[in-house]
Amino acid sequence: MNAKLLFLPFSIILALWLVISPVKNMWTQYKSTKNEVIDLQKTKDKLDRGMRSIRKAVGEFQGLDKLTVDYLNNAMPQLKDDDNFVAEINKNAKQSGVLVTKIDISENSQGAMMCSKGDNVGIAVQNISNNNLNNCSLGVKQMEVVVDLSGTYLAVKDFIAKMDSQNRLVEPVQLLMSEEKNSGESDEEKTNNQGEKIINAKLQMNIFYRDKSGKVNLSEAMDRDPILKSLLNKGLKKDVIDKVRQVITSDIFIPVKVGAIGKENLFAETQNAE
Amino acid sequence: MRKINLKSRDLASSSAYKQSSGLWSVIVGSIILLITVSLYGVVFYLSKKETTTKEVLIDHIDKTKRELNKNKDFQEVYDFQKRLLGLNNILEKKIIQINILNAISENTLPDAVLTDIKIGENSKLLRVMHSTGENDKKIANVSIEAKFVDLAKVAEQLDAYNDIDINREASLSQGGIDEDGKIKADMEFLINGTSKSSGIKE
Repeated sequence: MNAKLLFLPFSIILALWLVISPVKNMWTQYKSTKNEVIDLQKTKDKLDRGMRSIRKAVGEFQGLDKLTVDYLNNAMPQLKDDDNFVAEINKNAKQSGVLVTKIDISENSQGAMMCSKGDNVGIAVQNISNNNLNNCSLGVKQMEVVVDLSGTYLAVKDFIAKMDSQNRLVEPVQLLMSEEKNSGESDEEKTNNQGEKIINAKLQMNIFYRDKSGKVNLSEAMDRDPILKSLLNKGLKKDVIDKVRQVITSDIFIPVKVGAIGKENLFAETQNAE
Repeated sequence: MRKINLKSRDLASSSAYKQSSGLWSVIVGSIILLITVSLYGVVFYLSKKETTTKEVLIDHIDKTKRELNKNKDFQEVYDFQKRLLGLNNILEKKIIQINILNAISENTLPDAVLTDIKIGENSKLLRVMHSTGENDKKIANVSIEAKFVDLAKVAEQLDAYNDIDINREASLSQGGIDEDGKIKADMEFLINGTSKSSGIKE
């Protein structure tokens, strides 16, 4: 038979083979790649939106004045910062004219127990829709403070007002005020030089500090971290800054600086400089 | 009509016919192959294009992720947001004690002498508030021990405390006469809360 006549059936067979094998495989691969591209495009769009939002938040943050940032840092510092807190109490006491007889500061064991149960993660995830993260999930630690003091009622009241508005944010738990009840003293001894009654007060409160947190993998956290979600969806929570400024109205507190140090005889008493 | 050889009975073949059929076969076969190869080429091109797009997207995503994770400003603003959320939680529960003292002062009778003031949480009552859905309010339980000249003043004082911003009335939890003959009364109320207790003892 003429070879040319055989060309047609040969080309049909070859065409069929090409369609059935390489073209079909390549088409399948193309469809699969196309679906991957669609998913990748969604991921890219999400990341790009996230970048825009976080850049905007950075702009807002960098636009805040230093004083505001200092107030917020003082309200809830990174460390326990006991020294500055005690110094602030001392300053308030001196300005009010009360005598602080005792200060107790301790870690809140009940709060620590609740956080260590692992409830923090569960609660954080559960409360995403409520946008109500508890302090465990935010790395906020709590300390209990008890301050005993005495003075006239007006002095004690002034001290309480200063504590309410001081730089280090306090959460009052209990306030007890009672008149001096030492049975051995006469009525004159229970008053000051101006004849005003002396009041004993006990303030119980909580103060807070931030746990040292590590670096966060922001790209992985976008879908599950409620803090990041709140930042990306609603920006910086600036209304809190206004709330803080309404409550904390005292002057910015200057941190304690160490003066002269070094003592040979640790038990020797020193004369106070007059 | 085709010629036939009578001796051998062979059909006379027409070379012209054969040539014509062969040509058509080549043409049609070539067209079929061309179409198939073109189809292969198109699919190859589309596949290549999608692969390139995929690589570009993966590269862009990797770069964006690296920037998100390494940029110090981003970490700082995340940390700052965390601080703001923590402060918000505290501020939502914070009671301003001086406001409560001022409210008590404004509503205390001039001749009442307070001997004890207690301002704090009342966990039992707060549980009641939570069950009724009122747990978003800031609650302070106030207990006062005061001395009065007579019972009429005690009643007057209770009435005055009801004028403070409380939605459940102030009540007397305990009363008696002290060594000076004055009426000693313990009163309780919640700022935006409630308190219930027993009557007076003389």
